[in-house]
Amino acid sequence: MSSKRERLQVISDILRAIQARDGKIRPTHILYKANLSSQMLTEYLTELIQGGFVVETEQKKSKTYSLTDKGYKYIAEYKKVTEFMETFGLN
Amino acid sequence: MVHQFLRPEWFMGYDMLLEVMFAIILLLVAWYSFKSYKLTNSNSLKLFGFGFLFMSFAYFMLFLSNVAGFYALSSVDASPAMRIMDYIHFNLLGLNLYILLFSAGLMTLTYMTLNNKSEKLYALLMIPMLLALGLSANRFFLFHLICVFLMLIVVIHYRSCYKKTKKQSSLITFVAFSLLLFGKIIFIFSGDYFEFYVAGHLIEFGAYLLILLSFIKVLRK
Repeated sequence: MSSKRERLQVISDILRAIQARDGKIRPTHILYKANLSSQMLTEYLTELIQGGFVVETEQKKSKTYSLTDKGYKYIAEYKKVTEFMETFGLN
Repeated sequence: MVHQFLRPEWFMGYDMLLEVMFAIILLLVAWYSFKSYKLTNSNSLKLFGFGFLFMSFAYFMLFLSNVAGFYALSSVDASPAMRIMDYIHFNLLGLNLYILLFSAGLMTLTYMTLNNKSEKLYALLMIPMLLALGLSANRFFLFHLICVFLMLIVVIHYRSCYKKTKKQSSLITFVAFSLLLFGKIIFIFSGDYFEFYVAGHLIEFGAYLLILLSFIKVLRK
């Protein structure tokens, strides 16, 4: 069981992976970028969809995931926090 | 018994203004630390937030203590002796609370730099320090000596952070805490020479401005 800190890092990795692909990505790419098992990824994506950070769209039998405004805001806030931690020497 | 500061008359008021500014800057950074803690659950953010929060309350206490001291001095001729004694007692109480809160904040900050999650270690560091400060006959001098020692550990931490990142923001934080260390060394002599009281405040002003600058730079990104 991962700690909350690790969990939030994974969430951030998933959201950034989607952002890196112009806000739209297939699940296989997320698996590769976030280094997760498919079961874990499904759990995380379900949570992110329910939280309103990501939306799922189905095109020609394949699923793609894109960021919502809330997802973009989370990434921006997480980046600020990372910068804050680095500036003030926090691990 | 608390050894009091010596300050020039012309500086009275300016020092109080600076203390409120320091308290507000520290409070802002503490607030953002707690906000970030909710997002990341990082223990260091929580400790950093508490460290800055304690130090912020300490400056508010120092401000209130100085206000009481100011009233005690300005009402020497007009008020009955009992009233003046009330002001003096309040002044000393504020100064004692400042000493305890600031040391607790700085110890929390120092503990954060150790990157250790042991609550026992935290208690082991905090309790003897507070007891020593509470029971010391020369509390003021001991307080500044402890602050210098703790600040030195914090400065060493920020120096290694800057060496790792080589970023301007880390350098600013390192310089800010180095100034705070220098300010605390200067304050050791403020009991004998009022020039040191003024210099200490001005150096701290520079340090807290740098901390504010770093903080604003983070928020604007």
